[in-house]
Amino acid sequence: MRVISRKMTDRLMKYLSLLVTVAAITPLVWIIASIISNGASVLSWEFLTSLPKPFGESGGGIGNAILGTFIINALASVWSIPMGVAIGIYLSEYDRGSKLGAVVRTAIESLSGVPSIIFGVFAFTLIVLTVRHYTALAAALALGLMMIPLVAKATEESMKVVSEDVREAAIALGIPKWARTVKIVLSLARGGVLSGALLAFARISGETAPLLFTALFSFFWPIGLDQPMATLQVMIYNYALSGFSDWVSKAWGASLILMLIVLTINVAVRGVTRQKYAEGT
Amino acid sequence: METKLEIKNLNAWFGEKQALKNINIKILEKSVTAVIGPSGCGKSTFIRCINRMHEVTSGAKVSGEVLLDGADIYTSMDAMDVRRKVGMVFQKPNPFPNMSIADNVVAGLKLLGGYKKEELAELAEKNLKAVGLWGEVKDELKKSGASLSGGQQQRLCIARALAMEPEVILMDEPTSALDPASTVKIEELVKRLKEYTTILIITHNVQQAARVSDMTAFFYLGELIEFSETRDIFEAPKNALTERYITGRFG
Amino acid sequence: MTMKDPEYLTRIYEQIKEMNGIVETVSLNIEEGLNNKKGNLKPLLTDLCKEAQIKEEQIVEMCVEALIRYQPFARDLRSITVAMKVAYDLSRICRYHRNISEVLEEFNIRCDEPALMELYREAYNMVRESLEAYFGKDAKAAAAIIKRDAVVDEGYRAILRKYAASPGTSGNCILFNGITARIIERMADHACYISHETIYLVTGRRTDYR
Repeated sequence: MRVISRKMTDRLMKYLSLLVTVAAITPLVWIIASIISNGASVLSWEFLTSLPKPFGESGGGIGNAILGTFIINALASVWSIPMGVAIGIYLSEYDRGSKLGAVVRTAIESLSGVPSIIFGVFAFTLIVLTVRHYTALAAALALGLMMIPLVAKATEESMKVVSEDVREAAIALGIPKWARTVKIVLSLARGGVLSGALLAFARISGETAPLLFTALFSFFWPIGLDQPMATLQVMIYNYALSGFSDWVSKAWGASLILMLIVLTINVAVRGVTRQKYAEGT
Repeated sequence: METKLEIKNLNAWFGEKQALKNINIKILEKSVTAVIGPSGCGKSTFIRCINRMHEVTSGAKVSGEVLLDGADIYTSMDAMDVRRKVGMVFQKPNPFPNMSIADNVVAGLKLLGGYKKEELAELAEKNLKAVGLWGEVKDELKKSGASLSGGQQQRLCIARALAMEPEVILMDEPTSALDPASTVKIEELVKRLKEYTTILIITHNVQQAARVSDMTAFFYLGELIEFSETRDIFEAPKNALTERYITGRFG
Repeated sequence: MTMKDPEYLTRIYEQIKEMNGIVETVSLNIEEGLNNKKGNLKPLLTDLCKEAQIKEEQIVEMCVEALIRYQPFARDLRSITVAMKVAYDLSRICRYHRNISEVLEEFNIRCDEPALMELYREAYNMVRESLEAYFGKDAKAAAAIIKRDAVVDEGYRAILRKYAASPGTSGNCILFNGITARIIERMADHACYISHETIYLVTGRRTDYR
């Protein structure tokens, strides 16, 4: 009797796990499917490259929002990723339980818990109010601040995982600390660091609140970094709530594009790192 | 033969705990010295004081002198320079996994800078030949250092240490993680290497010490109990503790 | 420095003790033979010495096995090499006794010579005591035995001198006593070798023989 019930338990667990897995994937699949099915029909060359038309008119596109998203995300990444990596390196390799280390860790933890709108308000107060107009630079600041904790944490974790043996080997060869840290340990940890950066990038690609306070929106091509700028996030927000069916479908299309951008960058970065790892298999 | 390393009144601590007590010993050049003793006797601490790796551990302290060719490694040289002159091979082979075999060999030199690509390739070949690996890996130099077998990895690590042209090579139980065939290869390598460098080898295998070394140092509870020619120690040690250890009557 | 012997060594010592037992039996017989109390010793002694030789081969076997299995060092190692030498010395000592029995048989005469008997007793005492010192790992006692070799040497030379000086004795007795004394002197030498080995076993140092 016992043997049979053990087998049954096994099978039960197996099916239960399958069920749970399916339940977890279903929403994701549903979202992706909805986006594709609703957005695909809107895609066209005009959609991707032209400016939005005024309310009421059909046609036009999201060209400026696509460009704007690229610009702002790039700006945010360019300063926050190196900073996050540097902080991660410090926490992993240089901090020896010092007070400074404890402070930095607390700061990072806190930053990662702050609601995104606060970053928006912060950048608004610091920059927008000072220069008296909405600006993409403020967006870069706000979004960058959101990225830092993710990158720093990922860097610290990945570097910590690098075996102590490897560090010892490097020390024994007489390699100075900065060279060991960057050329050997960081190099080994780069998979994790890149994942962290990607994660951070994906996160800010989804944030709308901070943008509302900083870059706001524009119906024109980006003219300068210190001017308001269109972004896919804000556009989706505006268009989806508009109630105007043309704009709603454009919102689906924009969502599809945003999803594709994040996906593409993900795949591209993984492809590049895999090549570098080819030696390591 | 000249004295290569002279250690005077060496004491070492981990925080409050004293790991080495007043060690005085002279190591001759181009000799192989085996360092033996039960676990926790200070063997590892001792050799790590010779390449200044002991101080890397937080709370570690050292006092006394370690003279390499007459110059104290603690006062007259920078730690990095010491480690370039005194190489180390560890118990668990640790090639850099993200580097190719050839790059592993010259890793120390490459990161120092100032070497041309051709020079590095030649040095890689030379040192791989010196450890007897060249034949086995010459067609796979671009493969990762971690793709080799344990014994090969260890020889790779020895080649990496050799490439720095060290005055002394320290080996911390280099074969305890390896199979017998690899162990034999490495023991033969050690005997060849003493032609151009001085070697200190920690081993918990007394037979290995007897096979490989010219001189043997027996440590116990942080003290150097006996140090003499291997032949003499293994035929008729002067100290009762030494005898008990090498005849396996410890513990 | 009291380190207990490992078991494999204890077993080897047991065999050497048995070999020593055979030599003791042999010695008793020769003593009676020299006292003219017993005859026809050669066959008996040949058998006994064959037994002793088999023991010696056994002991060497056990020693080689110990070397292979245990790769001993220090005192354990010395114990093995010394055991092999002592077994050899014992077999030679047995052989010398057999030689005496052969001489007794060949000459078949009464040559009462108290000096010879005394020489034999002194030499055999040296043998017995050297083995005691060996089993007891007593380097001091071993050193004392070595000193007595001079006495036996002198005793041997005294016998030769006696016959050289007084040609009155029967020629055969001269030969008999001379040859036998020579054999006895060699026996004492082997007792000395055993003692030297005992000193090496205990101290790890070799002293000068010759």
